[in-house]
Amino acid sequence: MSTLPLAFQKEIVAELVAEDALLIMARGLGLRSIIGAFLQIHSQSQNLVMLINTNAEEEAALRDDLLRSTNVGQGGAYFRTITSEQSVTERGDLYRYGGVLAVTSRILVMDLLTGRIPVHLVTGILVANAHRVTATSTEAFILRLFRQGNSEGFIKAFSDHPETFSQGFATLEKTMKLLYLRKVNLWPRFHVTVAEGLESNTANVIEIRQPMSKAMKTIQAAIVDCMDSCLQELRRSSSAIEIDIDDFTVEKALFKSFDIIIRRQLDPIWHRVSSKTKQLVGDLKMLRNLLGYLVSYDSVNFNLYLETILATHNPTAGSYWLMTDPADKIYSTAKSRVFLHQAGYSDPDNPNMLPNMRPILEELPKWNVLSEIMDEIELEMYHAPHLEDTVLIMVQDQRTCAQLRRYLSTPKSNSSTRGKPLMKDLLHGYLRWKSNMKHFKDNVANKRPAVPATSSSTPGNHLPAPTRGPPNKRRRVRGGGSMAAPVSKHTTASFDKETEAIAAFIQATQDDSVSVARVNDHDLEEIDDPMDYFGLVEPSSLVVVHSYTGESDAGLLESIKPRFIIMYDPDPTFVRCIEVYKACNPGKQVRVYFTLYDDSVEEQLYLSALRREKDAFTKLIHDKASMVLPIEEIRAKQVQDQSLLRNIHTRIAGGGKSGEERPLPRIVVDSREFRSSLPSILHSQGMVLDPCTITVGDYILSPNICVERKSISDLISSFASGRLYTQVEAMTIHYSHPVLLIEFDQDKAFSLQDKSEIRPDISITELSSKLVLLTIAFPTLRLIWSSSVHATVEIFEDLKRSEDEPDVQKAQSVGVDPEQEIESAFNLTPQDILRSLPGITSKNYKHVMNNVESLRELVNMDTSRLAALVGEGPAQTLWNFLNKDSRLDMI
Amino acid sequence: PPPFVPKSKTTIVVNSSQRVNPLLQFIRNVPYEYGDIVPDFVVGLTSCVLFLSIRYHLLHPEYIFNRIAALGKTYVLRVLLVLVDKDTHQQVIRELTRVAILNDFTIVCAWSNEEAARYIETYKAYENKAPDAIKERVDNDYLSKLTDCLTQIQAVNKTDVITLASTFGSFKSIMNASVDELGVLPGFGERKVKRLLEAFDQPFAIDPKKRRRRRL
Repeated sequence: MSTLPLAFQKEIVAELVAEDALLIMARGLGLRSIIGAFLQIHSQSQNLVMLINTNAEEEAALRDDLLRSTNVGQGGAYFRTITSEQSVTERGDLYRYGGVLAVTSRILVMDLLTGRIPVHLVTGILVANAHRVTATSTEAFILRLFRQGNSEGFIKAFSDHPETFSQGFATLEKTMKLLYLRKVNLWPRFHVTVAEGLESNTANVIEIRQPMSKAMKTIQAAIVDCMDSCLQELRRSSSAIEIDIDDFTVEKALFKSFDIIIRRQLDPIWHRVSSKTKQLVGDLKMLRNLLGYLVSYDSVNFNLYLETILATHNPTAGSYWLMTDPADKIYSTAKSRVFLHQAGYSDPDNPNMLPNMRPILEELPKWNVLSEIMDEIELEMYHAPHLEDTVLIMVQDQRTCAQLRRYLSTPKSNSSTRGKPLMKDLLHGYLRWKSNMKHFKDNVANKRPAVPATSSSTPGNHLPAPTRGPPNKRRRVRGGGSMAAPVSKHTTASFDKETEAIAAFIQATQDDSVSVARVNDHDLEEIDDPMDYFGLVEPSSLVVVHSYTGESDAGLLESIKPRFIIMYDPDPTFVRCIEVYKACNPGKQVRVYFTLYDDSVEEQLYLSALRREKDAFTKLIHDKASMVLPIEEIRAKQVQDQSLLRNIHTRIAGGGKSGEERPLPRIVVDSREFRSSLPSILHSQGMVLDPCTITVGDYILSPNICVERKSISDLISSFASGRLYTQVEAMTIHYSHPVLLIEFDQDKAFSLQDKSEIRPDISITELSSKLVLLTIAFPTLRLIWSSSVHATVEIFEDLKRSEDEPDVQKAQSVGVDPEQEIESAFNLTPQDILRSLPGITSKNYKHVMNNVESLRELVNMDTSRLAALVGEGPAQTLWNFLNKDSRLDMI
Repeated sequence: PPPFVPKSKTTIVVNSSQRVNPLLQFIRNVPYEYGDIVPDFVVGLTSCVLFLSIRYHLLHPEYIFNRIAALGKTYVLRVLLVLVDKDTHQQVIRELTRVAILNDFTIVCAWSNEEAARYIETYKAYENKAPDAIKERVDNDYLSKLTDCLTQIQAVNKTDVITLASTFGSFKSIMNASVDELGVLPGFGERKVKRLLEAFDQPFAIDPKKRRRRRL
């Protein structure tokens, strides 16, 4: 524990060691080092501690911390990671070896169910990211299994997301019950001990508020307008469905959490939501991203991104906001930041420039601020040199990192700003992109059939034109006035025309401009030293640009020990990290520059993030005071549930006197299904689960009954991909009672289609039509319509009643080629991509996966090797698809 | 009795007892005629439909058993079309599911008369339709194929596909693009780039032993 430098951190650990609890602390106060302290305590062979709910990065970071803080070769040996990569025997060995094990939840559940883990010997469980534990999550299942087999071991849970616990009804209380905990330790930033620890020695902070440029302000206002009109549309179109429209305000829509709010409301009825509403939800997300990009992207790339959106736009069923007046403003203003059309203008510096085009190339205002700060720092270093004169610049992401590195590596000259050469390069890149885009559109996009063939779009829900009359016409009238005005028409037609002009120009001056562009590219590569791109910092380097990574930033500060810190983008967590760093190094001089766009959404987001955290803690403190959690009752209730259930069983089964005579019902469950909540609930209702990898079906109820489970979204996507047909086909071959379970979401309407969504004619795009086709093709297929997971459990019980118990070995061997190993599973995303490639069919995809390492290997194969895999014809189809350059006329 | 022969092969045959069923008014795309048949609807040479409203079932629980018994083992595809017209449906559907599986019926749930009518129409209209539409899809135009492929990766949307295609050209060049090249594309954050590369580089087979053996 000696590694924790601050008094409050020691107190947190001591408090949690003394008694099991859920620890919720403010972000940036060092949650990772707290978990690290527990790893240190428990990483010894006499312990068997499970760390659950962490991801690979968190585990790697924890391991690094552990290695650094303990003697060489000692700490790491007793902190291991277990994933699906290890075989069953390897896992068994690790469990016997002891120490702390970070186990993938899905694997842990299966090992607990099969008894591979001696559950009575487990010392305890550490639950990271406790805010993600819900009643149906695998982690809750693990803890239940753990408590059933072991009442002595400890459970300690950790979280730094107070907001999650303060949302919804009694979320904290419910989570505590799932965690089998009765105590919560709250450590907000305003906790007295924390405040004392951090505020005794604060850093020197200089806050710089930079106004946005006029154009940026205009765009920001226009984006907010667009969001507002999208929200109004959304409110209008969703009045038919029962959702809480109070949440639909622009203020809320600015946050990422808005997506969660809206999806939580719409998800259960997503299949019934009109495609227009879906589009609006997607648009809102896109607009919010644009707000972020406005302050982080340079003007050229911002404009380029806007044009890409327009290129994707489908005029018949496209985005609503693109047809509004504010969108017009966004497009024209964004372009005016890059260049203006001016007849007869030719660039005096660069004769290669497109005629009639006057580059404006507005730079981001913060660049200039940064430049000034750097000058100031340089001056100070010159007058008062220190041994460690490192400057740390913190930004939000890698892109901004790269952008600022380029910016800062450009020397300052009297004739121009630092950013000017950079902006010129970007403009060249933009022009080349435009010409590529033209070829691309000519070759591909324009050859598309009139109706988009993508599966997700449902025809018949075309976006109705805005009621205000044809907007294009109006815009043309207005824009036609003056020649020098920015191109105000962002209609696809004018976009195409402009693209064509640029493409023609690039074509004409090809040799010249390409060579110029090449040279520029080359320069850039030299500047972008790979070492500092990945943040591997040499101690001698003076300026480090790094992006925020949450908790790891504390380690970064400790290792770099900067004298100057520039927070280019605001980040509440990092502010805390600086506070902790400063408190740990009281003697160190640290100056912090904090730059913020005045009156911007960026500022608004920063301030409300702080406020939301504070409010959340205040609410949690209140909840904690009024919460009653008698833990004995929780356990008693569990036992009661189980016995009650067994009684019911015997009664329905017809007159058995005691529950013991009838063995508990068994179900063979495919290991992939442990991502869903059904296994957890089946188990809680007294079923014995046999987890294993099965090729055909998801649940085997008896030697005859095989069930494929589909949620509504799965059903839609697996119909679209054709996978469902193949799955049902396989079930029909191997089982006399193949069953398709259609499972609806518990919280929402139990219905497939809203009455208003039924089209006047029969169409194959409808889900009902596909279901009809499926049942016609497989008349022996049975359907189960389940309104919730709980209803599924009841139906499963019914179906099993008169049937024999399933045989695990048999279920596993079904549908597996003799030469194929039983325990072979495949990664899903690469598999899905592979299966959507032309030339790949349900007959040959497995063969490909068994003989090719990854997609990358496949893509780089030549035709002869492909032909050896899938045969001549399909190989040619595949090769053509993979190698077709959509911008060239070849092939 | 001799089997009822409909006037045309393309009509749905409706049991006369269904004359008052309100769903009939919504059968508009396919002609129907009344006939003397055992099931409620005959929607194909070997397929039939029994119709049951949950509300009715709660009042007359024995009705459906009699109908099923009368039908015996005839017809290949036997659909039990359930109109969910009550909120307390869970126990009924549970019971009907068991009955359907015991008696070789396929349950189809509808939540309105319109929807129920649509199912009956569709069964008739698709009587001889090949299941191609729900089998694995065959060729499409290049862009939708490409979109289909790349949007399998979480977080990649249609705009991103266009960005990728217009920047790199071919699928192969997209896959061989470096982290840096992908990172500077507008709309591509670190997470998206990571997801993309992960999908390209992740081995197909999870089991490492299997992978090792293959490389030898």
